[in-house]
Amino acid sequence: MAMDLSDTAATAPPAGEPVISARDVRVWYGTTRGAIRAVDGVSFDLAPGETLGLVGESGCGKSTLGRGLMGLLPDGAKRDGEVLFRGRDIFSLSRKASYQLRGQELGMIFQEPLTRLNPLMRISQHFEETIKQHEPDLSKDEIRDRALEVLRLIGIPPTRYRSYPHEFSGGMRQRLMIALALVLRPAFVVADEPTTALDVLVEAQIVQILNDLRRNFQTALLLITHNVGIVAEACDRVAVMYAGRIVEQGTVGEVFKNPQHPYTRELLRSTISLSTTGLNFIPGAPPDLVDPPDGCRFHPRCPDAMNVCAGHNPVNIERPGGGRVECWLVGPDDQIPDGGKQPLTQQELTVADEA
Amino acid sequence: MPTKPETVTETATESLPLVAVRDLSVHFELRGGTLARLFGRDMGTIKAVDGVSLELKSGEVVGIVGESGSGKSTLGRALLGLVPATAGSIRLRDQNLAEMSGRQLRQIRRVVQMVFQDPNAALNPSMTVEEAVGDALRVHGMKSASQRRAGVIAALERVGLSPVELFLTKYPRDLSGGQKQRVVMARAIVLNPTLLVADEPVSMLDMSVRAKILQLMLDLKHDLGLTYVYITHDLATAKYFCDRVAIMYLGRVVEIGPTEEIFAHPRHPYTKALMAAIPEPDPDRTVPRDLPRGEIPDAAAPPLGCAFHPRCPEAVSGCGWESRDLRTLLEEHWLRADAAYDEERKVIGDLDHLDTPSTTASLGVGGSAEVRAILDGMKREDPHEPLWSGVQSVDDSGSGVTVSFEPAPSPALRRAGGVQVACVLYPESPEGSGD
Repeated sequence: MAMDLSDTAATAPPAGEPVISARDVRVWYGTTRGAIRAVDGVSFDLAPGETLGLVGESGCGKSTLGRGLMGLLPDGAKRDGEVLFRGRDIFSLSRKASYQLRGQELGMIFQEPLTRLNPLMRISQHFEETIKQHEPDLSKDEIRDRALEVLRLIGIPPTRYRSYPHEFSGGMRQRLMIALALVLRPAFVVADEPTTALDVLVEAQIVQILNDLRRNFQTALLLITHNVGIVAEACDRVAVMYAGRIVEQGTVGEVFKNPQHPYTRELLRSTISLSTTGLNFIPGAPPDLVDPPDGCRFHPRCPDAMNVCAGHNPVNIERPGGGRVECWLVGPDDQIPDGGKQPLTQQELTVADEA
Repeated sequence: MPTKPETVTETATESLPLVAVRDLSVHFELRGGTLARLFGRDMGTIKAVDGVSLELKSGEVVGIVGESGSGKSTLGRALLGLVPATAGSIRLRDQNLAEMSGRQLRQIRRVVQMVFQDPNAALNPSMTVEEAVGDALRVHGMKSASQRRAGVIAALERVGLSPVELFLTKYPRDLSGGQKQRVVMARAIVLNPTLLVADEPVSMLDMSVRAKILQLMLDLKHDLGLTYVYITHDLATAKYFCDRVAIMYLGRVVEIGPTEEIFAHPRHPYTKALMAAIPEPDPDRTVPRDLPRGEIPDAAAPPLGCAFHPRCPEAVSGCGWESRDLRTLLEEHWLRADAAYDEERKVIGDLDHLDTPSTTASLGVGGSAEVRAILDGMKREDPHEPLWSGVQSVDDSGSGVTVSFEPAPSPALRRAGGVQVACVLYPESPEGSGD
C-alpha cells in the first residue's frame, strides 16, 4: 500500500487523498445459464483532477463497471465490494442517499447525446431542472449565470442558451451533455465512450475538452473507451480490462511504452494508426463470463502462455516502473510451481472462436 | 475465374478503366410539410454528391474518405444504382449505370456488390447463414438447392468460416461481430463480382477484430482479383488499405491522388486536419491545438465559396466569406468576452437573419458607431482572423452597419504535384510545382 501511494503522488497532478477508491468491486448479472461475472474483483484509486482511461475489447465489463460505480445497474444485477467516495462507502448507501449523491457528486456522460436530451425542453430548462433538483433555492438568474459559465468553458456561445436540442449538431450536443454533467461540479465523473458516435474532427475537439477538464474543474474522470489513441491523448493513467478484471494499470506513458501484460501489448499492436505498417490481431475472442477459463483468463489467446497460466490465477503485483499488473510472466517467480515456466502447448484458435 | 483471359484484361486495363464516374451528381429534393408542398414552395435541395469524377482501374483499391455527411456513402450507393444519379454518368466498362432501368441494374449487381457498415443490420435475423448467403444466388436465378449449397459452402470457406457445417445452420444472433461481418463478405462474393463497394466495413468492430477483417479483404482481393471501393471516415485504415484516396467534403472531392503522396504531403487543409485529428497511441504526442472549429455544415445550405472555409485553419481573403461566418465570429467573441455580452447583445440585436447565406450582412440595432466599435474591438482581439481580410466594405445603414464580403466561387479540382486539390491555396500550376 505504501508503494501504491508514492506511485499516485508521483503521477497525479494534484497529489492528495483519492476521491474514489474502489476495492474488489464485483458486478454480476443473473441469467438462465448462470451468473455472468461481468466485473470480477476490480480495484483502483482516482485522485482529484486525475483522468483514468479504462480500455479493453467489447464484452470485458468496462461499461458495467462504470454503471456499477454510479449505481445505474439494471434489475437483476448485483454488486459487491467497497467503493469509498471521500471516505463513505457508496455501495452501502440507501437508495435515497445515493440518488442525492448522483448528479451532485457523481456525474455520468453517455455515448449518445441525442437520446439523453429531452427534445421538448430548451437547453435552459435542462439546466434549470438539473440544478433545481439539487439546489432548490437558487433563482433563475443564478441558475443562468452558473449554466452560462460552464457552457462558455465547454465552448457553447451564450446566444444558444434558449435553443432546443435539435438545433445543435452532434458534437455540440455532446458538449451540452458534458456541461450538464459538470454544472453541479461533481467530484467524480464517468464518461462512457463519449466520442464513439462522433466524427473524427469532432472527436478530437471533445478529447481536447476532456483534456481541459483537469485544468478548469477539479473533477476526477473515469474515461471508458476502446480507443487506445484517446487514452494516450486524454488520460493520466490507464487501466486495461480483460474478462472482468483489470490486468494492468499505471501511468499512460509507462504502460504504453513498456506494456508488461501480453494483452496490453497485443491490444496496442492490433490498433491501426497512421504509423501502422502491418496488420496484427489477437486470435480468438474474449471468454464467456459465465464460465471463464481457469487460471489466467487470457491464457487461451496469449502468445506467451506458460504451463502455470492454465491452472493458477495470476497474482496482482507491483508493476516494474510503477502501477499494478497480474501476469505470471512478471512474477512472482517463487510462487510458480516447478516446470510452470515451460511454454504452454495449446490448440490453434480458429475463426470459429473469433470475436 | 479462368486464368487465361486475365492477361488480356490486364493489358486492357491500362487504357480502359473498370469504372469511370464523370461529373456525377446525386441531389435529394427536400419535401417539407404538406402546406409547403401544396403551395409548391421550394424547400431546397441536398447536394449529397456534387460533380464527382473518379476512375477505378481493375484490381485497384480506392478509398473514399470523409466525415458523416460528406456524401461518401451516397457515392458508394450510386455505384450500385441504389440511388438515382441526378446528372453525370457512371460507366462500368462500356455500360452507363446512370441510364439503366431497375431490371438492368439487377443484372449489374452480379458484378458489383456491397458490404455494409453494420453487420447486425445487414443480416436478416430470421435467416440462417446458409439462407442469407444463398439468397443472393436464388435472386440471381440459381434454382437448384444443391448447387446453391455448394456455392454457399465455397463462399464460407473463402471467408474463413470453417468448419462450414458449424455455421450453415446458425442465425446471426449466434455469431460474434467479426463472424457476422465474414458472413456479409461471403454473401458479397458468392456471385463472383468484380467490384466490391465496402461502406465502413470495419468501423463497427473492435480494434482487435478490425485487422482480421481487413486482412480477409486483402486476401479476397488477391485470390479473386477484386477491385474495391473502400468508404471510410478513418484515414488510418485507408492509409494501410488503399492504393488511391479521394477526400470528400460536403459532396465534393477536395483532394484525390495516390495514397503515398497524399499522406506524405497532404495539401488540402481538410486533409491535414483529418490526419492531425487521428488519436495516436503514443503518449508523447498531444492533441493539436489548431483543430478546425465547428462541424460539417448543413448540406441543404452549404457555405458560399469553398465549403470548408468556415472551419479552415488556413483560410485567406478569397475563400468566400459570408453572413453566417460573421455570426460565428460574434458568438466566439462572446465566449471570450463574457462580461460584455449583455451590453453588446443589445447593440447587435437579433442574429437569426444572418443565417440566410449572403455576401452582405446588415448588423446592429443600437447605432452605427456602437456596432463599428464592437466590430473594431473584435478585430483587435484577433487581428489574424482571416474573415476581416475578406471584408470589402463596412457601410452605415439605419441604426447599424452593412458588411460586404468579397464574393468567391467554389474552388475546382486542380493539379498540384502528384495529386489534385480543390483549394484556393493551390492555383493551377503548370508542371507539378504544387508545393
